[in-house]
Amino acid sequence: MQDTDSEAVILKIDDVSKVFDGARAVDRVDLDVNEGEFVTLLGPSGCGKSTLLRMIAGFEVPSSGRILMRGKDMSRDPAYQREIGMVFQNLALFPHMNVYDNVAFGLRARKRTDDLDRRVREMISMVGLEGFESRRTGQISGGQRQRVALARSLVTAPDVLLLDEPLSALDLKLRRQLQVELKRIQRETGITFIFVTHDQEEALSMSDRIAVMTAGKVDQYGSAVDIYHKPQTEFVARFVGETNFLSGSVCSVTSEQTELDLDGTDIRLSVATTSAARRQGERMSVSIRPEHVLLGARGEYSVPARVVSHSFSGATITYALDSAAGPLLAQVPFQPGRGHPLLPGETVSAGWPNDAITLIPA
Amino acid sequence: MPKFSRSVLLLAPSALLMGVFLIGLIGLITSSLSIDGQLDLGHYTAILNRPDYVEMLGRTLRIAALTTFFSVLLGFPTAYYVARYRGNRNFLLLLIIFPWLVSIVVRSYGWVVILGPRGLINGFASWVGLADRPMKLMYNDFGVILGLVHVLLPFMIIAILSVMLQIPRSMEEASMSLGGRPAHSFRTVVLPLALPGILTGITLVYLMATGAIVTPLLLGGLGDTMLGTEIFQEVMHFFDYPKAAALATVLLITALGVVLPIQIFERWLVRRLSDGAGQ
Repeated sequence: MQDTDSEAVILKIDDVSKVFDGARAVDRVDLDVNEGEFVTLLGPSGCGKSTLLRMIAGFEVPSSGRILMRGKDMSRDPAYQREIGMVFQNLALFPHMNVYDNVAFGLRARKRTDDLDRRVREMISMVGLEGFESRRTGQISGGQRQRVALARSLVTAPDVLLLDEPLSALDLKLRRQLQVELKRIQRETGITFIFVTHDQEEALSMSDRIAVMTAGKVDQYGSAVDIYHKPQTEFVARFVGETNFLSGSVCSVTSEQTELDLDGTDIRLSVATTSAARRQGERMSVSIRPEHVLLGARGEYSVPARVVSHSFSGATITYALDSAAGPLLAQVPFQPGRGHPLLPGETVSAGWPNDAITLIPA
Repeated sequence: MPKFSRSVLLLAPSALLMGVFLIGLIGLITSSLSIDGQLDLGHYTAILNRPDYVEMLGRTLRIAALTTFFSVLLGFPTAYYVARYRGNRNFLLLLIIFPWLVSIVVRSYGWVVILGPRGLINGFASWVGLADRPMKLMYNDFGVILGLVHVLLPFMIIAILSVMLQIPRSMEEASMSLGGRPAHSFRTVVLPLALPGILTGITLVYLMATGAIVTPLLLGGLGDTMLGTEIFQEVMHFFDYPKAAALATVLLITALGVVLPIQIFERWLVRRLSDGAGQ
């Protein structure tokens, strides 16, 4: 929505809703996807992301609104007329066909058989499955099945590829490996990817833009960096990464700066005014990421705090603190030989730099 | 060891059942093969030398084949519809097996009421003035096939449905997303995956149709009975057990000739499919 600059919008979701038995699964969603972009629909289960994807694929018809591909309304076109590929959550490989026939299916169905063999083999080699052509889909590993599904959906060179949590069944290591590979294939083919996941790490690491969805609506649509560092709603801040919420009341607003009195302290925060800002006297929250909380009297602001517990996770230690402004999580790098971790009960000064704060409507 | 002995215990009832069936079958075949305690093919040659029996066998197989054909024709779309029905599927299932609550005699007799010379259809036709003479809707092959399809259709539907329910909807969606029009998706994805169920249904319905007694008795003509009815009459009216046994064996062998290849093909298909389904 923000940056519809020179790039071509290939897919436009225009005020689309889907109602199932009176419940709004998707609620007035607007979304633009640019050509060649990797867009992720991120949200918890039941947020409507899969329903939105199924409407783009043509398996569901929107209750209202339009879906445009290259400017043409295709909301009511049957799935087989759309230039769209899909990788299913359960992969949906055809069990009665071998790898080659699975990959060739789309070309045969669309009767593009002139250089079928070359294109199928090219696709099989792109996903690194040479030599597996005549295997049945039950005789290959989970990661290989994933690649077959990808090759099968890409062989027709669709305008948009939809991926419905295709990695969710894999173990972490294989998952990471396939994430990298998905990115590579997306770059190589230049095909627009729309990826659905509930895994925020996956979304952050792969996407050009992320649409965070909850209760059928898109809460925020922006780059991974914006989603993480400038969350616009409490839901986005909480769902994407861990965060601290501190609340206060607005004491003055100008077009540039908003000043906020932090509850339980005499700190007056001065934050860049955003669209989220409220009038004087109203309640607001700020979000501070745990990794931005500094221990020891550092940062522009600091509050006294007491260590409640700590947990060690390799490169970092996360402390749960009880501060005057409320509970705080602080994630600090751990360097062996540089002192021992703070112990529960110890007091420490917790601070943060000014630019680490994001205003959130309370 | 305890696990082993438990499975042996569980085997006992089925072994008993199979044993009793097997003894019955052996008894049937031996009694058909002996005349006065001597091994003799006389019953068989007697049957094969009677043109009316040979014709009856042909008619039985033809009626069974047609019944099976129409059961697939009606049963497959029904099973497909039920499997893909988004509402209360159990209610539809109940409607399908509901006829099983009524005995075959009653169900077949129901057709007599509808198709008979003074039945519902003919009564209506003559009342409207469509026909001055009653149409011959029963006491012929048409009536028998109609009755048999009605009686056996639920078996076909259930057999196909049980396989169809295992096919995820995403199979068809995958085909559609790859540009497969409905007819293409049906031919290349749905039909091959549903084939084991169709073959099971064909086997069930064909076997039951060849052995049908009551429906041909009520709806068939006097002159052209089916083999099952004939065997029933040999036993119940003429007490000619060896002849009945020979007829039954002939029926059994001809039915197996059709069913065994189907079964072997189905086994092969299922093994191929489960190979492809993955873990």
